[in-house]
Amino acid sequence: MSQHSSAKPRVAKGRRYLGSEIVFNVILTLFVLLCVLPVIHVIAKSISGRAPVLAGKVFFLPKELDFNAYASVFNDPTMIRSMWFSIQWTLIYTGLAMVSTILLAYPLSRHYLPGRKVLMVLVLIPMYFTGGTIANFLWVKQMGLIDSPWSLVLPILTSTYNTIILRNFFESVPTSLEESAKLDGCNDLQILLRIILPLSTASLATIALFYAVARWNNYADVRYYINSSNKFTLQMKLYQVVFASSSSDVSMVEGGKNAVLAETIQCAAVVFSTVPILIVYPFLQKYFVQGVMIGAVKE
Amino acid sequence: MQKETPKPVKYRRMSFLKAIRMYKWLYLMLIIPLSQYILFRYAPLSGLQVAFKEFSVFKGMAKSPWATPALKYFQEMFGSPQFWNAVRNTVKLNLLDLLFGFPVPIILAIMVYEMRSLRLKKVYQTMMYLPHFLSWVIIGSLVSKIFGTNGPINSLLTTMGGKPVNFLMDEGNWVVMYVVTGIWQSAGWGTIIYLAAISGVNTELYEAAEVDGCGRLRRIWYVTLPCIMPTIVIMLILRLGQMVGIGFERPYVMMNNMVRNSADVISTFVYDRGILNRQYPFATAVDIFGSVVNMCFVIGANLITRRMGEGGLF
Repeated sequence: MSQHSSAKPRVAKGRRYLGSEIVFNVILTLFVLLCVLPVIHVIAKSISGRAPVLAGKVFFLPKELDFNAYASVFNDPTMIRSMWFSIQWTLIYTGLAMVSTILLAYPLSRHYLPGRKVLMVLVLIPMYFTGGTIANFLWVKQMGLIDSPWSLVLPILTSTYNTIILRNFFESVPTSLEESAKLDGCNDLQILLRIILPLSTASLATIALFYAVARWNNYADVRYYINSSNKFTLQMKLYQVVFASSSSDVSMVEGGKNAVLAETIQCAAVVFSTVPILIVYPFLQKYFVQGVMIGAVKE
Repeated sequence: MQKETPKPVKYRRMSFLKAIRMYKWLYLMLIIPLSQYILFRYAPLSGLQVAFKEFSVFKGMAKSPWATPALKYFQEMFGSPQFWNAVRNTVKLNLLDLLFGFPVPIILAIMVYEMRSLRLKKVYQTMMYLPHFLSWVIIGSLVSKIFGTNGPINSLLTTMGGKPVNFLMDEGNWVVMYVVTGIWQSAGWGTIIYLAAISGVNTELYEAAEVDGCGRLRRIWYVTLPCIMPTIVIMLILRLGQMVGIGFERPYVMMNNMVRNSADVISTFVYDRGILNRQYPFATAVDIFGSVVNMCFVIGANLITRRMGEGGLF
């Protein structure tokens, strides 16, 4: 019986399912091409000459190679400033968010801690009921944080979702390690720093990436809270370049009285702000899938 | 060395003071995250009173007088055609998302799982997760570059002798673009949860089906699908729980003045009225409406999944 099932399908499978194999491959190939081609199209446009772009002749391969659009982007101080601003505050946010999340997740993971249930409820309620855009806005305003970069950090410092993922992981660390450390006279902080954290580097990396990508991509709160253009994140700057380029944004249109240069510049700006994500993408993909899996394991 | 070694395994009620002394480090750790929760999750709730007040920025929240009648702004909200338009659009776009977007990751996951070549499987997965990591601003830019009036799709249409189509400025087309973009962004990523479910299926069932002479499609239909049905149902219910909420970024980034009527959802409506036009009480009332309805849906969805014995979300 087992001989049959192990030997026969090997030969037969390849032919028997040939039809569906082809169909599945064609559909999947089409789908993944659809996922990737838009990005390739914009890259191609960004390094093409004005004439072919104007004529709509650029699809997935650049025509009349021309890197002037990138020169314009890199010579635009506001663009570079937004890039640095985004990087800087993404790092600050990720660091602080990790500290806060660890400090919340660890006590929550200690099942013997009195008051843990109350704490959990306190943490979960905002997941179901939030003040909403305006109440948060008025509060940020009342705190004097409008137009301060801290308005992009403090209100979203601890994500309940990430906290629960991390708590689940901390719970899975064997308690025997903790107990022996306690016998050696370690306090809870030392145990966290010396035993638990070194054992959870993979989970910590996952969560840190969750935070960094969220901050990097977030656009709504910048729209709500930030007014001055020297505090625009890259997403905000990109929105301006692409969707409001007809406005008086002189530095971007400068040098290109004609709309086509602006079009290639816009594409270059899109690529410019996509590249950081593409660089970390291999790590992202690996850790995020793990993260989703950890998150899927319920309490 | 012998001093107060805590016995963590014992689960016993103890006095509050003793607990504090025993676990002081754990409680000290909580200071930072808890103050963040109180300061930025709970304290902002005080702003909800604005919906019942004649709010003036100069007088501040506490000193602004109560509105008469107290529900004045809720009445105004329920009487506002734009509000109902936003509610309608929110539900409509969500329903379309559900109808067209929900099945796609399931189908993709089954096909990816069926790939015999591991390398091909990896390649497909790597490529289809990519859109999930792009911000909505980037996605919106891509859409406007590709479907804009001088984008490649339109230049293709004109070279083939057709007429250019206004994909983004026409209301009907815009809704299609909105839904397609949503699928583009999330379908690949959505396969993860289904792939996990499929790989949990007992392989003996597959073998049995094979012995019984099932082809691949029949096996998918009679074995794989029924086996992942619980996951599908849970995802469906959780999705239904989000029926009245649409994030701000996706509609805002894709919206333009020509399609405002079909694109305005609750979140963009609140932004427009509250933050842009400073009608704080009115916008807060809309916020409260959205929040409460949303909460009912989410809790309802959770109760249903819990009753089905799947443990709910939390």
